[in-house]
Amino acid sequence: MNMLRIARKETKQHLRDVRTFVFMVAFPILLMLVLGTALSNAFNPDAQFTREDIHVLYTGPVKSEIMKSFGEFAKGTANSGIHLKQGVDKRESLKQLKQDHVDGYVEVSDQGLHLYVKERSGVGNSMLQGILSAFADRYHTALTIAKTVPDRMKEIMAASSKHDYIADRAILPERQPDSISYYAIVMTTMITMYAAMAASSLFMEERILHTASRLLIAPVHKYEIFIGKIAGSLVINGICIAAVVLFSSVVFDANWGQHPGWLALLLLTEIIFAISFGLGIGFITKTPATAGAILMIVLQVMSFFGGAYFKIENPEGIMKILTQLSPLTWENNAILKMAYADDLSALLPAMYMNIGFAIVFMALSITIFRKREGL
Amino acid sequence: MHLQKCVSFFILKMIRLCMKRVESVNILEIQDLTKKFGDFIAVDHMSLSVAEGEIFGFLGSNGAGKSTTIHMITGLLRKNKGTIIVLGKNSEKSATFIKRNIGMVPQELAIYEDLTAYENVHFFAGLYGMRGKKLHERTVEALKFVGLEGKEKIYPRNFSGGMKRRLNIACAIAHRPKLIIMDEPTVGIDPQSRKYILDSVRKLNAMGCTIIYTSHYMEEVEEICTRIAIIDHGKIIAEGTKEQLKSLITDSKLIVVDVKSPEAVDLAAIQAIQGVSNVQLDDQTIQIHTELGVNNLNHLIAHFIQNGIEIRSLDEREPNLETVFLTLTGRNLRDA
Ligand SMILES: Nc1ncnc2c1ncn2[C@@H]1O[C@H](COP(=O)(O)OP(=O)(O)OP(=O)(O)O)[C@@H](O)[C@H]1O
Ligand SMILES: [Mg+2]
Repeated sequence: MNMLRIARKETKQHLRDVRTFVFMVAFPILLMLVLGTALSNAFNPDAQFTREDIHVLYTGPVKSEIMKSFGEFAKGTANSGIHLKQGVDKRESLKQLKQDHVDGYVEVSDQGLHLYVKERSGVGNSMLQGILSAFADRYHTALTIAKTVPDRMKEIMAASSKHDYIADRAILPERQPDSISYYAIVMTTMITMYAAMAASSLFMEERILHTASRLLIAPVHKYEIFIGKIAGSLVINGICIAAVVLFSSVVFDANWGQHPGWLALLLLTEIIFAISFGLGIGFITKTPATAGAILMIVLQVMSFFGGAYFKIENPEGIMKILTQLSPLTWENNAILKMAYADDLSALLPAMYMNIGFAIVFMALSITIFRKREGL
Repeated sequence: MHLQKCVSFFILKMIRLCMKRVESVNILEIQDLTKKFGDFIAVDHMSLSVAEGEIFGFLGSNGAGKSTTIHMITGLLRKNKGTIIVLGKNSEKSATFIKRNIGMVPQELAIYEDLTAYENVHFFAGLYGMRGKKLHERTVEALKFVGLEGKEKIYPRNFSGGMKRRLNIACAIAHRPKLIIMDEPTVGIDPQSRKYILDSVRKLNAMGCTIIYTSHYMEEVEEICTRIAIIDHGKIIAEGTKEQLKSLITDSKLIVVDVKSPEAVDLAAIQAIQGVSNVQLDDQTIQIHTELGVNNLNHLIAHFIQNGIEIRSLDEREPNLETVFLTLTGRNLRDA
């Protein structure tokens, strides 16, 4: 009963605090908007394709009619900025594509053309598709006139009338988020960690206001105060984070995936982690200013290496270690995988990490809280 | 007839027994109470008792150990030694019972600025196990008691210092404690609010509350307290009614000189006059404590005349609590 009363008081106070909303709701939404639109180019591979030439490898049955024609066609496309070069074989060509040495690979066969690209969408790919369709049309017309393979003709004709004569397939298994969705996710996990800031002064605040004395002389157990205040903080942060997620998905159309239950659970464990972390730091420091400074630095570094400000792609060496050390990398990967590959495998490890850290910091806080006279 | 006599005798005896019990009830008993902060002894083997219905004054200069004692009684601080008995129950065994029956007005304001006056009192009173209608009624009652009716919905940040102090009191009395401990409830407030607070202390007392009242203001303590303890360096150095305390000072008197330009007075030179134990400038008057039996009035007057200081009036006063305190501790109460 007292616990509830204290939790309710805590929630009420925070709900009335404009800073809570500015910091926990408005700030992340603004950052999503600013970073999501300002840095959207970095997420758009087309920007590079339009500026640079497109290099594509092709392979096919050496002696075949279609291969000969395609070879002729390839020579003519060079000045349009699309360089079609014969590759060694399919496997080698795909490897080159995966390693980003080329932008595409075309498998030529009697059945037609098969285009492999890294990503399905983008202006560069549309150009490639357009040019290949043009070849297909021309080849098909030539065949019609020559009538060399009459029975095959019909097939090719039928196929060429449809655009999917050129089958395309992205070889990256995952779809990639657009920039606003990316920032919606990373900003949300970042601001969730920032719940630590308020948590660090949860008890200090009562001491400074001297209301700690009032709470302690009342017939209330110290633990009721402890749990009540934390529960209140949990509720208020939950409301803020839920608001951010809902807003970003409704207004920015951010993609949060198809598993709201898992998402909620992950974010909840992250809030618990953040609160315990803040509490722990609050208990080992003497003033709110010190606690705030320590947290600010840790959270900033965590956010940077967690990819909150820009995406850290294929990090290597020390950078890779640092990104892996940031809990935010774990949270973000878990959500990105879930939303874009329907892959839930990273969720549980991230949640275990959250709970693990939460237990460590909570144990630290409780140990100090028990020893201390007062709050 | 015999039976009637027997019964009336029995009833009388019972009544007397009850009366005796009522008389002897000490709401607070402290024995040998000690608190150390590291090597520093803040409260030093203190013993004291407060009877039900008293307004007990706790007088001491800064750092004397008043708040520390109060915090041990309310369970805010752990004691190093000694026993505390409240309403006949030992603090170690019946902590919760004691907490329920004590209300403390902390020395520092202890209110939430982002909760309204009503919500503040409602929240703290709620911690004492009341709820619903009863809690609402007690909240309204407490606010009314300190003269904050009609201000229920206002946030304390919009209150004057005096109103905040009154809210600070309301938060401590809504659960109707038997013992109310006030730790300097009138620090830094306007005379009107002070009068209000002193009146409410008397009213609470009339309603049956026992009150322990801590203050730096001698006049307040003199005005409302039935009994006073003077505490210094964690020890009680004198205890009793104000008459008893004043009677301790039989060897000193106070001469108050009202002069035209008090800042021109050389206090050190007056101090040097035979028999003078202490000189102070207080509120534009010169307060001279001097030993009884030494007739130095002529010397004093001569000093003012020689230095060209015009005397407006000269007054020989009975020793007050200030004198008592000064004599016992050698220090002035407020600026020690
Ligand atoms: N937590 C603490 N740690 C160390 N010393 C303390 C602590 N609390 C109080 N003291 C010291 O104990 C002494 C008594 O303090 P206390 O607050 O009881 O004085 P007080 O009589 O209430 O004075 P005031 O009139 O200034 O309120 C002071 O010297 C103070 O510095
Ligand atoms: Mg004090």
